[in-house]
Amino acid sequence: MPKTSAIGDKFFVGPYDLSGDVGSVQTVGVTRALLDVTGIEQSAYHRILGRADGEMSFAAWHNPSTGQSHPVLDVMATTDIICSLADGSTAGAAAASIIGKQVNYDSIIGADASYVHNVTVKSNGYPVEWGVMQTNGTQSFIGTAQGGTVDGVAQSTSGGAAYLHLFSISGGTVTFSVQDSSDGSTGWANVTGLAFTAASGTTFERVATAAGATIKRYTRLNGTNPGGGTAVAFVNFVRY
Amino acid sequence: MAKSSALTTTITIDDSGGTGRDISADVTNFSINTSRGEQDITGLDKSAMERILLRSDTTISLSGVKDMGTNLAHDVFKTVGTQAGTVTRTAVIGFTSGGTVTAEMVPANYNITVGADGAATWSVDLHLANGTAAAWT
Repeated sequence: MPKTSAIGDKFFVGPYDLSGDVGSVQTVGVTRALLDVTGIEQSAYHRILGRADGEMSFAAWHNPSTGQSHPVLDVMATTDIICSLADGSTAGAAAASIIGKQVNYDSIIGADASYVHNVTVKSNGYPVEWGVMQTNGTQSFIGTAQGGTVDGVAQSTSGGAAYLHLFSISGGTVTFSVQDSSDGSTGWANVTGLAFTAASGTTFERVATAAGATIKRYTRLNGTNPGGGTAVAFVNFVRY
Repeated sequence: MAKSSALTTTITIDDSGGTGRDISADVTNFSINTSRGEQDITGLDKSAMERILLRSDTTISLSGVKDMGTNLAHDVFKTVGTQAGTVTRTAVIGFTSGGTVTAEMVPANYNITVGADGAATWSVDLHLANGTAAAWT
């Protein structure tokens, strides 16, 4: 795959697609504490990695419309939000997600009348996590439907996590879950721990398996909605 | 040998599974900082400074262009946040004009930046990990 730009990338905040308002992303950063464990016998430093941390900071153009940058970001919720940066709109491509606290909403009005809002989200409990999209960007699921098959190259035994952004649902109650399969064709089953809470309205959520859970090579997103409505969602699956 | 540039350079960094990956094509610029602590041991009887060298350290800072290809930059560094704390990465940087440095490192971060012009870049700082100084050959 060639080196690429970020043209065509997507940026989601909670149940909102702000891809059209976010003009730049200053950082999608994961950091690890460095622990100095050097013994007196060693002539150079000996280090191991400590606690992880994460941060996403971005700049959004002012957009006062419902569901767009200003009304979404000026709320400064005290509870956790989820932000995701997606590399394009094709299932299987990379995506980064953070669950954490929005710590600021800085509005900058330039002498040229430009109007931009700078936002930083700092992680809470989990660092920024890189995974792969299970949807083609914001994908519609009508009734009970599945996303495309994503090849994870090999089965893993370290568990995983998944992030859901549910942007809209026209009716019924939808339950999304990440499923796995050994061959990508048969034997699809929900991965224990990767089923999101049933939702009848917009929402966002992070779920995770138990530590050491086995996840088969192939994954896909399954949406079950007995009411038959259309749910538009994005899911990022992180394989540990 | 004449003075030379860094053209070309090979940069190989282990992924979190311990396999060395050539990410030379994704790195646009980098720095290798090899330092020694120094201790001032100047006695009152000296009119000039007296020093000895202490423990050595190495930092490698890499910057590059987004590349989501298999076993390239993103694949190598995407697990920085989740890898076990004791997992180290062998870094080998070789200059075509001569000279190779090898060191066992830990990645302290992995940052992605998206510019207003659509450019996507990354940066990583690697720090010496195993108590053995970086080796130049």
